[in-house]
Amino acid sequence: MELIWQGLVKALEMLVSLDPEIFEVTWLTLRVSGMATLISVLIGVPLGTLLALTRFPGRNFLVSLSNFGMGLPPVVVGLWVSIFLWRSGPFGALRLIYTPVAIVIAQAVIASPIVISFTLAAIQQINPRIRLQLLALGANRLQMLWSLVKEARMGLLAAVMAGFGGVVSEVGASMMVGGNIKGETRVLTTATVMEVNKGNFDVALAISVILLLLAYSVTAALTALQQRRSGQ
Amino acid sequence: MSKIISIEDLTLVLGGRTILDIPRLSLEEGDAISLMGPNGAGKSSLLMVMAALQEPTSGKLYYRGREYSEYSELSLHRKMAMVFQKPIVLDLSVMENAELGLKFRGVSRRVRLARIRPWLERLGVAHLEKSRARSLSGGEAQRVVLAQSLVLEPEVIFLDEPFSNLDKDIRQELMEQTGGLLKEHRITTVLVTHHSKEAQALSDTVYFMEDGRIVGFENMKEHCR
Repeated sequence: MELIWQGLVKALEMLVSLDPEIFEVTWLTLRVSGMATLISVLIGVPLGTLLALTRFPGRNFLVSLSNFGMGLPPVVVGLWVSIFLWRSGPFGALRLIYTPVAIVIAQAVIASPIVISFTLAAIQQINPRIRLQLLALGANRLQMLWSLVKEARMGLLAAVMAGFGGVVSEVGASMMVGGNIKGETRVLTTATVMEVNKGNFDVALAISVILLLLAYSVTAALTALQQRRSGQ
Repeated sequence: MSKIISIEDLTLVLGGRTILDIPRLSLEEGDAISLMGPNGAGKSSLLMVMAALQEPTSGKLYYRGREYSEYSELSLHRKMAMVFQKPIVLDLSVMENAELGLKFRGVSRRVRLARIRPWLERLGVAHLEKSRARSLSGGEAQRVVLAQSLVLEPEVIFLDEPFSNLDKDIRQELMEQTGGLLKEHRITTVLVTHHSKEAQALSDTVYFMEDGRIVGFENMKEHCR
């Protein structure tokens, strides 16, 4: 209990004193995971919508692949992305390994299946007669797709929350492709692991509290948006 | 009067079952017809095919003398309007729902509002303009859907049992109101109904259907004389 109390006090100290190092790590965490979530939304929403509205050979396989992808172990994603980004790898010339961009790529790989599957479920839940109604009202293909996406916005916000939650909390991929370099690629999760390894449990606890606060703040903001729309 | 929709040797087969088998049917501009018959007679399917929302298995459909295939689906949809049995509204406000069709046609917001408000008023739902459409009662939602369709000033309107889910009093009121509006604007109308009163109030000719076929018709104007 004393350790937990120390951790909470330490977290408060860090936040109140605006500890520059912890502020930098928190800001990088938010930027990296935010960007990865944004990319996964740009990839996942159109693909999820496409899978929900079309029928073609192999579709079920793709759906099962996406559902399976929701549980991809981050460390496995980290390993595969590392192999591709290593200097000797196919994209080695881009010199992305151990940069924030590498973490964004790995996290986008983790979040995309989550967003695809949530989008697919959200669009499929829409009453199929709404599509008929939109067609009858004279919607062209793009107008219909946009109307359906708007209709599924509650589920899509859940997709964004799940995607962000999935990447902000992962450590394996960030550690492998980012390397936890101070001032460069250190994010809250990798910093927590490092402090535990050093035996600084109070600092690790403090960082974990800040991570939880960050994750909750973003989720709370998205939830407020979701519930405001549902209650209009 | 000129023919607005004609059907020749139309069949619709789904899952090996013949849903429609209509050798010939035509609709003059400004006509109001009803389709009556037991459940499964093919009334709604015929409506869907005429509204270009369902591809027939064989046969030809003409719109103003030209085959449907000569038009894009979109252009046909934009000449027609459809009101389903259960009012289908999106999770938007009443006004946002009512303006959807005009929005799809690229009409500016100012013009949309100016055109929709009179319809909402005539159908008695103007006070609900800002309400969520999903929170409306069945009767209110059906009025919104009617306003949504009528504001488009369609050349043909298809009504698929639009009053069947409503209470008796509301049904009577909305039926009379809709009938008046359709006659006033001379909109060609195809109504699917189980109620002869509705057919009488809203149409000039009633076609009776059974097992996907038209088995008879009755001229309501003569009937009323």
